[in-house]
Amino acid sequence: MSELGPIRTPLREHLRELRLQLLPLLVWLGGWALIAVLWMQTPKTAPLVGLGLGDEVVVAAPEAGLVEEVFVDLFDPVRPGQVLLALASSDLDAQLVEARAESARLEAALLAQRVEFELADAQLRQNATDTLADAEEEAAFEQARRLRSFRVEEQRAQLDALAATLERVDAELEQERVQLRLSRAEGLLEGEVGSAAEVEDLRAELDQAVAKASAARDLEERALTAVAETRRWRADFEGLTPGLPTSTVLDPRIEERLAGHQAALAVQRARLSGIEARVDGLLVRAPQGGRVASLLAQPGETVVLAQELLRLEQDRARGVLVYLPESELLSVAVGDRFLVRRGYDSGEAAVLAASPGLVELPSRLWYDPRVAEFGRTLRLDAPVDLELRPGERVGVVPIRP
Amino acid sequence: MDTLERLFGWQSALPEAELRSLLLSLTLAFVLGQMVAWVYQRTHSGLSYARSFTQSLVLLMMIVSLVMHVIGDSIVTAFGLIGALAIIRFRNVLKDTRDTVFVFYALVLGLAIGSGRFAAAIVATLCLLGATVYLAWVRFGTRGFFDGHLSFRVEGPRAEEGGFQAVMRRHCRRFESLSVRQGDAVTEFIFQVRMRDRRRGEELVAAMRGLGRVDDVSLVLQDELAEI
Repeated sequence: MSELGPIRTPLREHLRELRLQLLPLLVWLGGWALIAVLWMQTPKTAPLVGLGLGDEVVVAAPEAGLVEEVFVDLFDPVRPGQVLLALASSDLDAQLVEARAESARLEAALLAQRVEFELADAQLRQNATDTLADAEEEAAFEQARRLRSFRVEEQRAQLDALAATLERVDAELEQERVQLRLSRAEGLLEGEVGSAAEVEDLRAELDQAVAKASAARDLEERALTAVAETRRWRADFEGLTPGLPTSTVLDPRIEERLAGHQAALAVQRARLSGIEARVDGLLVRAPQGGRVASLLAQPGETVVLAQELLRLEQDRARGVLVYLPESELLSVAVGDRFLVRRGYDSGEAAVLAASPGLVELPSRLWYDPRVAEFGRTLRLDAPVDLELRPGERVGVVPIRP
Repeated sequence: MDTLERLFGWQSALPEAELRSLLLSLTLAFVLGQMVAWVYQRTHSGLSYARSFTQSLVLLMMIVSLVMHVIGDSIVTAFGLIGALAIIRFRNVLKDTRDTVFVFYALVLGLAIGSGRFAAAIVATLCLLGATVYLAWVRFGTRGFFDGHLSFRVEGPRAEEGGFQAVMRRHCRRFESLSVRQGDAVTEFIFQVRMRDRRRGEELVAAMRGLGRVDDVSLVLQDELAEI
């Protein structure tokens, strides 16, 4: 049988052949062509690095001391005036005690001086009344003199009582001082840098001071009792002899003589107020609202005056700081617009300012951490519709008109 | 892009540069995925080859590039995707790789929509579905193009001289012997054939039967040829 030729292949089979064999290859090549087109349209420059810019406030220690307690954690929101941490300062406490004691001593001294002047005035008037010639007046003034002698006795007793009070205040102050010295010495001994002998000496001194203060308190009590007795005698005499002048006129120059003591007392009270204000300042408060960006002090840590304790930052960045590496410097003018990108979100921002010269870039942006890099910095305003946090890293791309 | 902005709002619209970047990624994943699939197809040995797996390689590469666009730098979104995948896998036994690809694609699309990236979701859907339909239409991943199996028996000795080769050359573009079973007086042949005209299969069978020594002719044509 003669071999017949192949049957005719219809067009649909050719098209099917084309679809199954050739089309994938053509599509594959077309894909590469599309990639080339898209690649050429894609901007080659990598986005610039920008950082959210926000106000940062440093909270420093108002006094040297020990951090007693920290009331906030990292990234906690804070309100203006909120207490952040508490410091303890033993030196400040000692100064406060000393200042209060000094104030009390000056008040007692002022009062004693006033009584002394009144006593001297009474003595002068008594001497004046002794020279009267008139017998009747002499009898009357004899009565007045006796009254004044009661007053003199009363004022002497008051003076003694004030002196006893002064002694008592001095003794208590001395006791406080010795107590503080003993506390410090015991603390040093616990830290193995003090001396046991010194501690023993101070304890003995403290015992003496306590005894002295106790004796001074007893003396003061007896003096006050004497004052009360003399007052009672004077009152009884005044009750038996009515009509006698019962008041003495104070010399108006007495107030002038006491001005110096009053001024010293005012100075001491002002010093005491200052120390009390410093003690209040041991509670560190937030100067403004925001968020805790960094905690630099921990409870139990000793800090010095003006040492940084923590940093606060605002919740929202008020701009973007863009770094242009030296290799990518481009001509930028104020008002030029940039696209700020964070992930898939973006917003436009305008240039507010540009650094005129080269500056050293932050070390975290260096390609090699050992080699410093330089460039320009641009300041952009806050992007529209994109809320950034201070310090947040974003990508920035120039928008070409 | 203006239309997308009006439809979905400013935050959902895709900046032009981002659209270009997404298209570039998907296209590159498509062409590179095909290269990977071709090499896999050519170098695969054994009996477990499946065309659906080869197509899944291409689609998977495109889907993963979409995932990276959606997730971006967000670790929260990344963990959300991991969790969703784990739940789906735990609750469903995915027998076919293609099923896995489509489940993955549904998850990623949901992520894109849920995170407000409507434009990216639409663009990616068009690209991915277009690629899926295209790969199915061109039967991407098929090893050899045969239309079916032809089996017959030749009686008597020297079966190769039965004249069936001429008939097959007339009706078929290509034919390859799958098996030959030699009996005492009968030789059984099975060929896989590629027809010149699929609709004239009956003519081939009749022509084969018309040969004197050939009987029990059977032609099985399939659209989906199972590779075994």
